[in-house]
Amino acid sequence: MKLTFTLTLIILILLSLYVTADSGYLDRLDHIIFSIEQIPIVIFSHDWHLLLEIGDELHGTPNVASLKIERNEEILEKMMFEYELSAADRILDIDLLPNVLRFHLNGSEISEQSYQTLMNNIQDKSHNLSVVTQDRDFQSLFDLKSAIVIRRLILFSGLLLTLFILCLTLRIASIKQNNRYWRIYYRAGGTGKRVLSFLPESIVSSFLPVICFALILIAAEKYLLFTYFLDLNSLLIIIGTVLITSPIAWAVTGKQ
Amino acid sequence: MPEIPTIEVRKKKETLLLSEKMFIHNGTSLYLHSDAPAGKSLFLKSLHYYLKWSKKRRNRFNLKNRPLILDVRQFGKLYCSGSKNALLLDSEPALLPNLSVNQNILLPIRNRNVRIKHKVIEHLQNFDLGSKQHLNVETLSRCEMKFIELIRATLLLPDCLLLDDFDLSLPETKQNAVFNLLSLMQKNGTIIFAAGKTDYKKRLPDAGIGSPFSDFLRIKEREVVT
Repeated sequence: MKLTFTLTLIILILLSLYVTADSGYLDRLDHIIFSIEQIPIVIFSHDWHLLLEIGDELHGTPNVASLKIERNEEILEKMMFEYELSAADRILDIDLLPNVLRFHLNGSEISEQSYQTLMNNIQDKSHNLSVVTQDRDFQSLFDLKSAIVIRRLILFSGLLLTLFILCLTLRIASIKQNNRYWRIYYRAGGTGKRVLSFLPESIVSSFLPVICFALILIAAEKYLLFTYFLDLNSLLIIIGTVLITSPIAWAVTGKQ
Repeated sequence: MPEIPTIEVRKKKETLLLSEKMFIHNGTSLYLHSDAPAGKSLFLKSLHYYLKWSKKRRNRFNLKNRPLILDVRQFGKLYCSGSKNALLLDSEPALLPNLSVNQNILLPIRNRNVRIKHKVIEHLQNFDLGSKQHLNVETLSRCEMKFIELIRATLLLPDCLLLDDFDLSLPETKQNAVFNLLSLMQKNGTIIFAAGKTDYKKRLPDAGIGSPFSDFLRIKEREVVT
């Protein structure tokens, strides 16, 4: 049981350090996602049906967060009433005023590649389209986003590697330490199976820290207003990494 | 009634010990005597090895009158699992020094009921160890440690008990208590193999003590003979 508690403590400390570092990255990522979602992409066209068709297509893709299509008459009305440009209908020719499709990207879903594909698809529709976008801003945001995603991945891999090495070392040390006890137990005539006492200890020491950590996160969210979402897949990968060290340690350590 | 085949213990290709086939009745106790280090421990270890694994690995021990050839290196992993068939108490006591006398006695016993605990106290009192049951075994003498091992073996009642260096830590004042314990085990069907330097065949009748041993063996030119 000593090892179980030592492992629980070590894993809790490691997970806390990981979450502290990762929440910093997450904040920056949220900011970038927000920035991406704030930049509109505007398409001008005199062909209303073409804009409707593009609008329908964009509506079905997960890369688009919101979309709005406005006819030229609506724009003119808006200019006259919302912006109080009453002379607009006399100055502007309604047939020269284009229809507008304005949409915002879904910052969490979009990537540089999918952005390029999306823009190419729009421009391939017709040469009569005029697309206004801020490519430079998007490019720098995408670069930042992918850098943070890679850093998060490296951080998570580092956590797993550290957990693996630590747990394996501790388990091997524990098996070696218990060798003396088991040798004397068998010499004394004991017939119990060593593996049957090792298995529950391994399972408890793999699940206990993660369950404790989940409870700490819930408490932190409730009382400290600290929100961090560690998804189920990550939890399962962490449990799996800790759990897999047990059979490896059992296989590689010489038992008496 | 176990049948022990011809056993040949080898180191590389050299024969270190040879013992002929034996048929032993349950409850028999045998004593192997030799003054010099002739291979008593080796004989007990080979018996232990055979008795421990013969039931679990039947195919391997299906010898059909061929001798069982053992290499001394095989004895290195004798304690990687437990067995009820044979229990070897060698010269080094198998006790955990940081546990109490009681804890050490009950270490291999699964069913630790009140009856067993009463028996432990009773046996400890026979050896004047009743007041020491809660002390750590590291505070005891080597002789007392051997008694604890013997009491533990009595509670386990293995099919065969092998006692190496039997006479090494056996003061004459406790001889009767030890022999009573061995007789108790014999009555329950345990076969006892003991080995030591004291010649009990000659010595016990002189001392007027009833010998617990029914058969005597000795080692002559690397061969176990009666």
